[in-house]
Amino acid sequence: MNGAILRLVKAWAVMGGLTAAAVFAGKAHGGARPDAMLMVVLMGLTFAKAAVLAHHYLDLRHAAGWNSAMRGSIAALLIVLLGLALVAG
Amino acid sequence: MHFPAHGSLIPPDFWPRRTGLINVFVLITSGLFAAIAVEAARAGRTRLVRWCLVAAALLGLVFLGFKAAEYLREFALGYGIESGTFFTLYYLITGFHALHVIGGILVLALVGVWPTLINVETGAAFWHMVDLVWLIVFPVVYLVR
Repeated sequence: MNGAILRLVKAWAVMGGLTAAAVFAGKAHGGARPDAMLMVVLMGLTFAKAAVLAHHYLDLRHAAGWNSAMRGSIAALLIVLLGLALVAG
Repeated sequence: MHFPAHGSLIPPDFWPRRTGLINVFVLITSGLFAAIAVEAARAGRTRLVRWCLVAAALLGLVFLGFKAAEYLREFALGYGIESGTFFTLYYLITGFHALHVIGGILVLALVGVWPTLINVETGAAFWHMVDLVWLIVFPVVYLVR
């Protein structure tokens, strides 16, 4: 069980690091309006975080089909959000 | 202070990124405890399951506390649900998410009373989905500007 807890703590650290990277990207941009590059970076980091959560916290690593479906759904949602944000910006 | 135009999707200058960021860490830490509860349930360690579920639920309450403080600050500055497109979407998205956090806390409490493996796995799965939604809401609401 200790190995499992260590794996989950590592997943937590990775998600924390990706969150910090997203905040850094947002601050580094600092523009009045979102641009395409910032949006792509933010959505990419968000996808990576969500994939880590699905793989380790939701434990979909044992269900390859569900894991792929979850990643595909998240990617589709983020692409729609990216498109909407760029159109709105 | 910059007030957004009525139809604007861009948040105002004061926008509190810090609260959203803190709540990301609060929820992913809460999710960590929920995931450990599942591992503990698999190992048959009921006492540890309950402590982890209590920790996860308490962090859920911390999330709601930060969210309430954020809402109060915005109300004090005069930003309500009708203050423009951004605020309408902001209150709807984060408000419905907060309702799911409340529901998740109740689910975790029930699972803590009956901590069978299937109950813990199901309750934790709901909690992780609440966590997942916040991971997606965070950059859209707090970082894009």
